[in-house]
Amino acid sequence: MKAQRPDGASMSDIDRSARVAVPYALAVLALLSFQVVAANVGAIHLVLPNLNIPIPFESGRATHLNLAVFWPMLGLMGATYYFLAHDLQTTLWSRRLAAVQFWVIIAALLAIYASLLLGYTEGREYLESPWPFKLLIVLGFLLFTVNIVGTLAKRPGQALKPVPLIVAFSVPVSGLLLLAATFSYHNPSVDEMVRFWIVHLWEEGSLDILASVAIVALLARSKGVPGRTIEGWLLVEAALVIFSGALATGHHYYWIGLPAFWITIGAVFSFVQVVPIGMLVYISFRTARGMGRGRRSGEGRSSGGSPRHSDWGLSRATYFILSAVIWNITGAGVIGLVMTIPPVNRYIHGTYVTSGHAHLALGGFFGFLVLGLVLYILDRYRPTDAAGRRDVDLSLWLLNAGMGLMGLSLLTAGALEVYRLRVLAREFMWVQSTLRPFLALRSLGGLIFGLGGLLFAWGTARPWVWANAPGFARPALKPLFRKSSLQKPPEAEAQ
Amino acid sequence: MNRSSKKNSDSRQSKRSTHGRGEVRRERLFGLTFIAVATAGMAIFIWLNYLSVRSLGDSPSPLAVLGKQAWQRAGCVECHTIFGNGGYNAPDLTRVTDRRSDKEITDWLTTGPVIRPTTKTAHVAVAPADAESILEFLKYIATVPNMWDGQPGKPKGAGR
Repeated sequence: MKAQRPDGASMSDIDRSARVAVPYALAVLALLSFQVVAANVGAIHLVLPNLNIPIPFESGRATHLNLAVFWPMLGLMGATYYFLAHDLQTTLWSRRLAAVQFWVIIAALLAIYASLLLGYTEGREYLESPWPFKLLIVLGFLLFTVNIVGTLAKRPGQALKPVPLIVAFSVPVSGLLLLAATFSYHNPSVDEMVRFWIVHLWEEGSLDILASVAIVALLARSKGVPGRTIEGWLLVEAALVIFSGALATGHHYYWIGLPAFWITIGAVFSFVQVVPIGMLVYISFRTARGMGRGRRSGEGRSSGGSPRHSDWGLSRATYFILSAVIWNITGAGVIGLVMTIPPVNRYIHGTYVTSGHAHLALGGFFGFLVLGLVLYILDRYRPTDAAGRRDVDLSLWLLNAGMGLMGLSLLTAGALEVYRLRVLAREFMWVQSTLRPFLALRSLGGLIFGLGGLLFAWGTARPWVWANAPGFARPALKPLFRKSSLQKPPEAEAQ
Repeated sequence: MNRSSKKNSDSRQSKRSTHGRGEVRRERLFGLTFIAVATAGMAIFIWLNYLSVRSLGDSPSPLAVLGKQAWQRAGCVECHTIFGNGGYNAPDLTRVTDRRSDKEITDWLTTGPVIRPTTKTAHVAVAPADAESILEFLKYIATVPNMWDGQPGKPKGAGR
C-alpha cells in the first residue's frame, strides 16, 4: 500500500521528472547516519585516547572531513534538479542521466570510504581519497552539467532568469574546481593553495550560490514575497558571493608561503563576504515572515507555480532552513569574519577555534540547509507518518542543541588554547591536556547531534523503507518502539 | 508584507502597463551583470593565483618531494599541522627543524615512541629512508618564506 499524498493531487510530469532528487535525498540520510557515527567515535577517541578503537584515528578523521563536504554536496545536487525543473516549469532533459550521475557518485563515495577505512588515506586534508575516485566525482559533475545544459536548452528564453543562470554557472565551476584539487602537487604551497579551491571556493562560492537558490526556491513555495523581488535580490547576492568569495580565498593563503598581497586581499574581501550573508538573512526572514501572514490571511500568491502540498513538510523544512541561516550568521558571518582579520588569524589559526568555526559554518549552515531540503523533497513524494513527524520535530531540537554545544565547547577550547599556547607559549601537549574537559563537552554535543541525526534519518526515511508494509502511515503505528509489535494492523489480519 | 513588496517593485517599475517588457529587460540586465561580476571575480582570482605560483621560491628537491609523499602516506597531517593547516592534536611542524636536531627527528620517526596523552598508542613509525626524506621535506617547509611560526607569542627560534 503506497502512502497517499494528503492533498490527493496527481503528480504532474514535472513532479515525476523532479523525482530524480529522491535517491539523492535518501543517500544524504544514509551518509548523515554514517557521518554522525564516525564523528562520534572520533570525538570520543580524542577524549579517551587509550580506548581501543578498531579504526585508526587518521582514517576516522579523514572520513569525517570527507563526508562533511560530500553529503551536503549530494543533497544540493538533488535539490538543484528538483528546483530547476520547477523553476523552469519543464521536465528535466534526462532522468536516466541524473540516475547515472547518482550511481557514479555513489560508487565513488563507497570506494572512497572503503579505501579510507582500510587505511589508504591521502594525507591531504578535506577530500582525502585516491585520485581516480575523485575523478569519478568530477565525471558526476560533468554529467550534471550536461543534464542542466540540456534542460536549459528546452527553455532557452529562461536562461537568463536567476535560478537557471546561477545553476548553470555554479555546476561546471564546481566541477572544474574539484578537477584542479584532484591531484597532488610537488610544491607544498601549491598543494595548500588548490586544497582551498574546494573547501573554501565550494563552500563560500559555487555551492554557496546553489544553497541560496535552494533557500529562495523553497521559501518562495510558501506564500510571501513575490518571486520576482527575491529572485532579483538572489542574483545580486550570488554575484557578490562569487566575487567576494573568490578573492576572500586569500584568508586561507595568509601563511602558506604565497605572496603577502593575499593578506590584504583576503582581509578586505572577507569583510565584503558579510554583505551577501546579510542579504540572504534578510531574504530568508522576510520570506518566512510573509509565509506566516499568507497562511493566516489565506491570501497572497504562490510564486513557485507548483501545487501546494502538505504544510507540514514545508513548515518543518523552513525551520531547518532558518536554523541554517542562524548558524550562517553566527558561525560563518560573525566568527568567520573575526577570524579572518590577519592579526587575529595569526593567533587563532590552526587551533580549535578553526574547528568550532568549521562545525558551525559547514555543519550548521550546509548541514541544516540540506536536511531541510531533503525533508521537503521526500515529504513531497511520500509524507512520513505521525511517528516519523514526531521524530523529525524532536530531531530539529536535538540537532540544533547538539550543534550549539559542539560549537560552543570547541570555541571555548580554542580560546583557552590560543591563550595558553600562543600567548603564554606553554608546552603543546600540556595545553592539549587542559582542553580535554571541553573536548568531552564537545563529544556530548556530538552525541546529542548524532542522536538527532539518526532520528531525522529514521523519521524521514520511514515511508521509503516501510511504505509497502501493511498498516504503514496509519496512526495506529504511532508508538513505534513499544506497542507496534503488539498491535496487528487490520490488513495483516485480513491476509 | 505583500504591500511592502509591491511598493518595492512599483518603485522600480513606475508604470504597470509596461511591466512585462520592463521586467524582461531588467531580468536580462541583472543576468548579464551576474555573469560579468562572477566571471570577473573568478578571472581576477585565477590571475592572482597565477602570479602567486610564478613568484614562488625554490621548488622542493627530489628528496623533499619523496618526503612529501612519505608524509602523505603516513597520514601525518591528520594530527600535525604545517603552516597551521591539519589536525589540531599534535604540534605544528612548520619550524620543527629549528627546534630539533636532525637525529632527534629521524630517531623519533623510525622508532615511533608511545605518545602522550596515551599510554599505549605509539607514534607512526616509518622506514629509515622515509624518515630521511620526511626530514628533508620538513627542512624545506621551514625555508618557505611566510610569517607563520606556529607560536606568535614566543620569540622566533626559542626552544619549547
